[in-house]
Amino acid sequence: MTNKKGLAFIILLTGFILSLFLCLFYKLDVENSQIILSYIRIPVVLKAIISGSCLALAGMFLQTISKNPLADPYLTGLSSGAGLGIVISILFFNSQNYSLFGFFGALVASFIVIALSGFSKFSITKLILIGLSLNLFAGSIISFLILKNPEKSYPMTLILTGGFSSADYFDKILISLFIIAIFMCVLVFPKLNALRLDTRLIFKSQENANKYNVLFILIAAFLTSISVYSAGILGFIGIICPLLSKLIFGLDARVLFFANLLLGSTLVLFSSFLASNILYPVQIPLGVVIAIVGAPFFVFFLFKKGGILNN
Amino acid sequence: MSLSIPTNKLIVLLGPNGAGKSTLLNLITDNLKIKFHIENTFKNIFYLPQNPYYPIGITTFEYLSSVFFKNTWKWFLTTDEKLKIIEVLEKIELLDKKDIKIENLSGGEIQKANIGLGLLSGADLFLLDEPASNMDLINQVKILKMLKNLTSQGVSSVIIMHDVNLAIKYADEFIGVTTAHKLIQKNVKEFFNKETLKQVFDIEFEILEENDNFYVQIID
Amino acid sequence: MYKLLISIIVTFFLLFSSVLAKDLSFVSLEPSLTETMYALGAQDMLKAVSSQCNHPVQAKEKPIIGDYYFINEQLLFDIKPDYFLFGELSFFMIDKYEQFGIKPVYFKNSDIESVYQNIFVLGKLTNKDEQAKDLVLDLKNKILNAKKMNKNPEKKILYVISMHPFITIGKKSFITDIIEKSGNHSVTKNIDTSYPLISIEYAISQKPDIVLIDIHCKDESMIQDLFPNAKIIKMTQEQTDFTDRPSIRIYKSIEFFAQLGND
Repeated sequence: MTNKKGLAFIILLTGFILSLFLCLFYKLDVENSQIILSYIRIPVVLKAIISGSCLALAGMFLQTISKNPLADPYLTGLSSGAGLGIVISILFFNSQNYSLFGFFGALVASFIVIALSGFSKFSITKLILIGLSLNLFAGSIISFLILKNPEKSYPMTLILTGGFSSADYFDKILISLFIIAIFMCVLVFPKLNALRLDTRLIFKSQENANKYNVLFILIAAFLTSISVYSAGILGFIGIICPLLSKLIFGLDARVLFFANLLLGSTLVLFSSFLASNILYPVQIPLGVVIAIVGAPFFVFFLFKKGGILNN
Repeated sequence: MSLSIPTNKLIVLLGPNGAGKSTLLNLITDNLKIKFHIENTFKNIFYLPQNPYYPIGITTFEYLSSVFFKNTWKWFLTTDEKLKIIEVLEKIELLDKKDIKIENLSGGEIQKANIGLGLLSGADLFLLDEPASNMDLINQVKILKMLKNLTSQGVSSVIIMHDVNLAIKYADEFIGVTTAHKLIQKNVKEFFNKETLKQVFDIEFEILEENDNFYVQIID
Repeated sequence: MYKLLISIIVTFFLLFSSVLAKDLSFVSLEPSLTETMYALGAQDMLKAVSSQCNHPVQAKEKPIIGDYYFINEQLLFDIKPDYFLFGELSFFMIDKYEQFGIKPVYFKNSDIESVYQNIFVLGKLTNKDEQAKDLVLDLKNKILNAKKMNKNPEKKILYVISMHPFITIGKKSFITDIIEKSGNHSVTKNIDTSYPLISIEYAISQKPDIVLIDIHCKDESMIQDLFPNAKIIKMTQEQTDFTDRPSIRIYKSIEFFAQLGND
């Protein structure tokens, strides 16, 4: 059993390194290699790692807390909050730093949803329903704004699909946010092992683990906002990585931390490699590639023996 | 209203549906903030709800180890804690199944594992909401026997049950909850007379006594 | 008597139909079509324009029927125009008005040839065939002269619409056609869509001589670093005004692109 997990880990690591090399050195134009590496490829690799691992970890938090395999990082109305931030920045501030707006939009949206679902009498069902309403609300505003500004609708639609197109190359803010987030994860992640249990279980005279739910959802929202900052709104990674890693590595949160870090960044790295090379020189938006590659992969694992549906 | 819970006893909560048995358990855990006097000397309480959720794909050992991540932010279990888990697994007769996924255990075994969680948490009072529901007779007996054994090791239990005859066999004391939300706390002999049972269940019972064993039967 | 009656009816009918022809009315959703209407001298037939129609200046005084996606239907049915002129962007929503007697006319805007075609079609619709012919002839002459301004042809041009994400012009964009007509080349002319999202690496590997930055592209700070050997030109509002749309001022954009290589 442990051998099998060790092998899976080695395969995952190899996959990660392979994707990293493909992203950095595949068909590298020797003449302009320095410009291309420092301005294009290295930032993309960094952003892929940041967005992938943040999404996977956030999904891990939310799936453990809600005990629902369908929970995804955008649960807290985050995607449309981010989308609205991006659209507003492009339309009203005419800014190329739309990813920063997306980051704040995502944070604000999740704060609103978490606050409305109640700090004291918190329930995950309330959270999901309020998040859903906010998604519908902000989503329709986004559609309206896009339709009202047809001359900018094309780039806006592209940006909303998700990708590494934002203006901030070698962004110090992004990297420091990521380091803070990972540090937070390292501190709290083993606690998820306790949250595996039924929330109604009470261990009196000990801390009640449920009171950490809000904290963990806040951390998940923070992680997801960072991924929005680096890659826009990428679906799927946040659902598929926690599920896959649980299938392969079991339920120990300490193992799953590293597994999700690796799996998330590998998937995004590889998808970004495909996105820029399938139809070269035309780029396919990253979000599209992830969905097209991810969906069949996901369904395959669902029906696989010992998969989620078999339990 | 008040209630006192004696130490080292197996106490069974009896009463019709909707009388407030689960509410009473919640009162004991302080989960509900209602003015209600409960006399107890217990330090740690462990509450197990009806049909608790368990994660899929986790081994029995890992399931039990979850308890030790509750209080701290640490990354690794100490050797002491690991030994304690083994000890508890032995006590709940699941040591040979420690590496088996919990969803592959039987209902009775899963319930034993849940009781193991309580043991690991160091609780001296267990509050169990129908721990033996949906189980066959043998498993019900096994669970009750285990809880009965625990009373001698300093763990008291308050259990909600519906099978009166099974309860008589293992319980030290009864608390009857009536539809009018009254509490009647008595030991076995005092509890099982026609008047008390009528008061609790609002139905006529016939009580059979044979060699100090009681049996109840409903009179049509 | 019988013959007289027929001749009276025929005369009456002819008179009536000529009156009808004079009272033709149009509504335009495309800025370039609005411009052509003015150039043909058919501005009085144009009853309403889109909110994007800002050239010539007088067009702004016309009632606004809507923009590419939203149409003020109240106003549309009040005007009840004979023809509804629209371009690619509004393609999917116009047909439904045909049942109310408003005939939708679709205009393609992909290259210079389609600009000539559009002028002829509009000339036919407005009964101004002669003016249309003159206009096209004049335009062709101006374009020929514009091309002669290119003293230093065969320059490789990269036209950047947006930096983040990196969008340029492809084969189907009319700007590509204009650049080719001006004697220069667009480095992205072989990519099969109108406004493709492409790899920056591809653009670098094509070694453009001139990088043109669209007015809507806000972040050009990196372009200098990415294309150290290229001449970088940020387009002004005035230039964008005529390069942006396939209108009768298309010769001005050809002049602009032709002179890029001249120092």
